[in-house]
Amino acid sequence: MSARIGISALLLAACAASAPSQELRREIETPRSGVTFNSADVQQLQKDDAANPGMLWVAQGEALWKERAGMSNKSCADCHDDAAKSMRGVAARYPVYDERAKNLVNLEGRINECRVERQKAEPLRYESEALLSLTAFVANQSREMPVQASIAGPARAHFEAGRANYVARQGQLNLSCAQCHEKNWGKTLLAEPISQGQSNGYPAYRFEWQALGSLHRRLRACQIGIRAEQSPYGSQELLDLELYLAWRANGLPVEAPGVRR
Amino acid sequence: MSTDLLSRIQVPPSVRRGEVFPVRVALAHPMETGFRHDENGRTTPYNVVNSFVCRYNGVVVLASSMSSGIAANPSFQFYVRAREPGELAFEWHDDEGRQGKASLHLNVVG
Repeated sequence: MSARIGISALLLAACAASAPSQELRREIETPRSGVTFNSADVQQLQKDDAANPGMLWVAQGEALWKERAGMSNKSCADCHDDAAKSMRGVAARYPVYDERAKNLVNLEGRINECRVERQKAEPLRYESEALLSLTAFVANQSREMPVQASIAGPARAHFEAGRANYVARQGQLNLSCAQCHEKNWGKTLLAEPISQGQSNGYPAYRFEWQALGSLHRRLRACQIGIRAEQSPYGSQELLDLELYLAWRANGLPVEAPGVRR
Repeated sequence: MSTDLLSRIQVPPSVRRGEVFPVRVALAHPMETGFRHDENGRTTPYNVVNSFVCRYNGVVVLASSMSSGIAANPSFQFYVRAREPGELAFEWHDDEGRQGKASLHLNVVG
C-alpha cells in the first residue's frame, strides 16, 4: 500500500517537474556559437584540425586514454575501448545529474570519478594538463553533434540555481551575466564583440591564455571582469552555471576544442 | 605525462614523384619570453624552442633557429619536393634542454 502511494507520489513529482519545462522559453531562442563573433581567421583556425592548436591537447588526451594508471593498472581504453564509439555524444549531454553522487557531474568530474573508483588512482587536479587533455579528447568525440543537456528530474534544481546565478548582479561592477550576454550581445565592449556567452566550444584554446582552458576557467575570467569573487574550480556554483549554459546552448554543435580570442 | 615534447605533424597520405607537398607541424610549447611572472611573483625563465630541423632520408630540408617573439604552440608550414619514398624525421630542442622527436613515412607513387 505504502509502496503504491510512493509510486503515485513519484509520478506526481515527475509530472510537476516536466510540466514547467515545456513552458520554459530561452531568452535567446536561436543561439549563435561564440566562434561566429570572432574573425574569419579565428574561425578558419578552429575548422582546420592541422592548424587548431587545441588538437595538441586532444592528441595528448588520446595518449593518456591508452595509458595504464592506478592500482588497477587499467587504462580508460581497457574498459571503454574505442573512444570514437564509446564516447560519441557523451560531451553533448553533460553535465548530468549523477544518482550516486547526488549531484551534477561534468566531464572533468566524471573522468576523475573513473580514475578514483575504477582505476584506483589519484584524481587529476582541475585545470591540470592531464585533465584538460583527457577532457578535450573525450569532448572531441562529440564534435558537430548538437548539445542536448537535460534539465529533467533532479537536475532541475541545479538548473534553477544556475539560472538564478546567471541573472543575479554581482561584483563591484554590479553586473549579471545576462546583462552582457542576453541583453547586449552583438555590441562591442571597447574593441571586443560581446558574444552570447555560449559554452559549446569548451574546452577551448584562447589566444589570451596561449593554452587550452576549461569552461570553468572561462567563467572565472568573466568573474574577474566584473570584479566579483572567483568561484573555485569545480565548485557547485560553476557546475550549476555549466548546466544552465548547456541548456541555453542546446542545439548548437559541440566544437571542442574551440578556438577563441 | 611523457617528458618528450609533443607535436602534431601532417603530410598528404601519398604524393606523386616530383610533387611539391606541404608539411604542417604544430609543436606544443609555452615559448616563455622570460618576462612573465608566476602566481608568487617569481620570473618564469626564458625557455623557447630554439632549433627545429626536418630531414628527408637523412638530408636536411629545413633548419630553423628561433628565439622569443614566436607565439606559444608554434606552427610551421613548409614545402618539400618528393623524390623517393622514405622517412621524414623531425627534431627540436628548447632552452631547458628538453627535446622532441618525430618521424613518419612518406608514400611516393609513380
